[in-house]
Amino acid sequence: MMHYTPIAIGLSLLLQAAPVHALDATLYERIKAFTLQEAAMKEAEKPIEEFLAKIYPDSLIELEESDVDKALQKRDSEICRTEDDDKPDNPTYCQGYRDQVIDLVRRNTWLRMQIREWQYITGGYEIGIDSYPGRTVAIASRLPSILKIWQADTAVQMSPFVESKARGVVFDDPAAMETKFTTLETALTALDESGDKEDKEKLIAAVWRYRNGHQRIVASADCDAGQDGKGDGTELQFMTARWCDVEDALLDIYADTSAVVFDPPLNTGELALFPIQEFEDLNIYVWTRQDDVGLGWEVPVDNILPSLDCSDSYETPEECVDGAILGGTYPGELEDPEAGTMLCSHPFDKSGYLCRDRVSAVCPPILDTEVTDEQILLTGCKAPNLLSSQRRTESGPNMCQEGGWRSFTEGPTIAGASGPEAFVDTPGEEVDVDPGACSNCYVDLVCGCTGTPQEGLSAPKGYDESGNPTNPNRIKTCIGGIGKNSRYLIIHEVVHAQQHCNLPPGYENGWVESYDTTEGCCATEYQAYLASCGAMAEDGILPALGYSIDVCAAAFSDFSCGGPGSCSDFGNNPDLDAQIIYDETTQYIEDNYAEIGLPDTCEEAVNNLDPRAQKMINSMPLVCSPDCQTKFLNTIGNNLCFIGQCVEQSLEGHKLIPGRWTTTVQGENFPYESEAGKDPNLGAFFLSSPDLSVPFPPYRPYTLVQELDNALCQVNGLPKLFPPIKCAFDVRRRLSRQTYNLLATWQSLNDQPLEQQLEHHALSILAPGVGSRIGTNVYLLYFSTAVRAFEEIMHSTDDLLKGLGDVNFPTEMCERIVDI
Amino acid sequence: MRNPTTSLITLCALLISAIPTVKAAPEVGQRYPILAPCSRYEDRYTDVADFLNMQFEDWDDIYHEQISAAIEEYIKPAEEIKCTQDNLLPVSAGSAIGRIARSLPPWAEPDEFAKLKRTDIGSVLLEYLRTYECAMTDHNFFLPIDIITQKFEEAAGGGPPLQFIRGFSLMSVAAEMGARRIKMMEEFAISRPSLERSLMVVSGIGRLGPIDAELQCLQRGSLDLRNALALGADAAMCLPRVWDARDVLRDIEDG
Repeated sequence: MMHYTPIAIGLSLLLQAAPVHALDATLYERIKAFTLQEAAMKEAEKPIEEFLAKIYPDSLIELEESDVDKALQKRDSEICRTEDDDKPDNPTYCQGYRDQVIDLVRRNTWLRMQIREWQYITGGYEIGIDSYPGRTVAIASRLPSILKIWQADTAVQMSPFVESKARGVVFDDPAAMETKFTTLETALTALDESGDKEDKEKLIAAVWRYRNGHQRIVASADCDAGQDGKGDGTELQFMTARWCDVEDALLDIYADTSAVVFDPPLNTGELALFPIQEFEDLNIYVWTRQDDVGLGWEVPVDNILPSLDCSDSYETPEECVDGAILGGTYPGELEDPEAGTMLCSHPFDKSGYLCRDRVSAVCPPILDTEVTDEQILLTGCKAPNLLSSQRRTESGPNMCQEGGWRSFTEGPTIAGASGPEAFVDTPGEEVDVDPGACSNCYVDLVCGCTGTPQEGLSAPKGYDESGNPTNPNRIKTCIGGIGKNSRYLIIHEVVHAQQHCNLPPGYENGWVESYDTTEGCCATEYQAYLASCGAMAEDGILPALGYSIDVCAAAFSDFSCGGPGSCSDFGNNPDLDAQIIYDETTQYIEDNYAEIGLPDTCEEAVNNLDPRAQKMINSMPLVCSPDCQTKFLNTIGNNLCFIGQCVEQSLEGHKLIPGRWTTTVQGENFPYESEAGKDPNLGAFFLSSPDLSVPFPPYRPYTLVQELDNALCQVNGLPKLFPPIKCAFDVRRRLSRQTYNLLATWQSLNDQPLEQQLEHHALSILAPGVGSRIGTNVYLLYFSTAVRAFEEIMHSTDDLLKGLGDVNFPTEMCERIVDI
Repeated sequence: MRNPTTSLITLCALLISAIPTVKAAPEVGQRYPILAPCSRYEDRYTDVADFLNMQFEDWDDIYHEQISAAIEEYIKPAEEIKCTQDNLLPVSAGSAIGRIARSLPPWAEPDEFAKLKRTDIGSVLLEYLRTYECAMTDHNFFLPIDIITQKFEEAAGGGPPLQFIRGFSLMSVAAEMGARRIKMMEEFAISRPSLERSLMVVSGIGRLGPIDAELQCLQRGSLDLRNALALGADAAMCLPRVWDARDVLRDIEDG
């Protein structure tokens, strides 16, 4: 430690205070200034100055605000001013007064710095986790973006996962919004009361107040002009204060963003996120959604400190004395917000552990994994819970047949007074509808025609539910049920319509094939129930009951194909019973349909068709028929759906070999087929499937805790002992080498644990950091293999496209008959 | 009393960076100067990262400005992500972090500098802090000599060294020593806590930055793939022309 001789007067004047209130002070400069104040070597914070001037006892000397810094700098003669009447005559008393001021400053600064440190710690963990795009680390918004680029829209209905949906939207009038944001920035800047010293108490409180939006606050009560920017006189007064100018500016922005009309319309639970607006000088950004507008911190280093000044408050509680808020009073308990509001309204935060019930979905055990007692399996892959296959087609893969991935272009028409009119489905029967040149069928939703206890029925193409022939292009879909589940019945039956649309009309074609066996029935029904169970999950029904989508689909398939156990295979899981799942789901819909917003009759469900069902109906026309339009969102999946359906349609419908499908399973009936020449492009490019196995790293908490115990002992040079506290003390260390007297021996034995105390303390403090690092490593381990699998897909696709580009299209047709 | 959590969490921020990290062990046969004692008599620390070549009055300004610039730069998203390289987030020589790193012995060599990643900011700034503290400690040990040497050099004004200075007073040397020691005491009190707190705040960026960079690269690659497949879809639209082909490709309307 260095030695120095304190030098006399005037040297302290060399020390210059660094201004921290400048609007452009950087993060480091502000932290440095707070640290300097904590050291209490030069100056105190403005709130502390004001507070001390109010609470310092008048019986000693009258302390003014400007005296506080002088006391820190030990300028006694300026503080005491012996020539004044109310000052002590004896200047030696001055040092005592000055030391008391310094002590008060140090204690209050220490407390404020501790609270700031908590903010630094949590801010450091959370700085990279944010819901809104445009932030420094935008993982939460980048992941949905990548999903959106890859996903085919069929996955929205047919995938057994529900993601929280968000879409990015731009402002309709950026120039007008710029003016509104400038107004907001001005209102916020006005809250900064810094002068010679920083005083941002109100600005900081305002940002935290509107951190989670302004709508709930504004809805609770109008902003009272008499309480504008004022607190209630308690330590936490600014946590509940309101700032009318700021609220007006936020409301002005909200008026525009809430009025936006979305095309396509927002899905259930989907959020629309507008670009964030940064106020760099203030370290603040503004986030905007279609349902709220709020503020946030660029770098979250500021927090609301216990208030010390109540001179301007609109109330004077007991702890407010002469304008100072005295300590020692515990504030009242803050109320928890309602579920799904405040912090839990943000898109990413709502998936966090604070905002979501920690009830995991009841699902069967994961196949092909060995879980030991010491392991916790975080996640894994599994096959659907079916006894047999999950999907069947008549020929070919029928890519993207189920689910909706296209926007409306052409639809069926009905004869009108002045020509064909667009067909609008009603709950009644519509027989004379023309599907158009681009489609092989149309769907006619009819209410109440099941005639049986069955809830829904999709008749074979060209026939009604009784087997009587009708329009050969018509797929009559009967919706019965309890009325309140009509939405999901419609989605289910439309999937069946999709399965039958491109088949020839009649019972014999496809219908019997599908339902001839239980396996066929299960494979057909499972696909349809994936869509309806997926819709139920999106609407919150399945999460409330704790069932996953594939469990729901497997259980419901049982009831369409012969009863419980026909299709589903849940192992021996006692928590999964098809009948119970079916009954609970039906009852939940019956009890909560109004809250969910479900139509309560079939008629209402047909007249206000769910957008998901509409999209599936839009996807029925053929994609590649000449003169037919196809419109879809530009994603990788949708492009692949288009290419795949077009290639399939071409392979199944071409006329190169007259009257014959080339890719059916039937044998050759024409003698010259076996003598056809070899396709010169056969095997031109061949790809092996990428290896998509992603091993999930196991998480072994018990082993990690044992390793920590091991480390505690190794720090003391001992082997692992249980419990590890035994490593702190080994009686043999002293008894094998006695000291000169018993007292010294006793003292040494007593002091032995103290030797390792520092290492133990350091290790125990380090443990959370190491734990965090281990968690990050587990994530990195998974991510690196998952990204590699992704890379392989992209390489394969790249090779495929290159190969396509290298194909030489022959200018002559392949020889039909080759002399052998 | 400073919270020990602060320094240890900062240490963790230093440790939590993507694998592989800058090596903290020397090559065989080579001295690696991190955590080596730094004094003016130590090899590679002769001018203690150039501090001994500067006026003492400028030390704190220069140090704090450099640190502030590095942290401000780090808070902003990376300007460049090299998706096709192993090191996604390299440090450029012209950046604030790069300038600090190049002035320090561990990264003065181009080979070592090339291994630096953006997330190594903790290592670089803490080494810079250590060097700054080392410079002050070293200066304090030789304070009277350094001050006297400085006065004689100023009086010589670049010319031949002087034998004596008219009006030279030991009291002025003592006064200068006192002032410098007070300044150094203040700097010791605030430099380390300030840097550790700042690193604590920005450590989250370092923890998640590499993942964010990977995701950006994945996003860009996905967009490229989407565009390529969109071209494929455009090409597939022409497939109907093939359906009715007999011997040569022709338009259907031509009959």
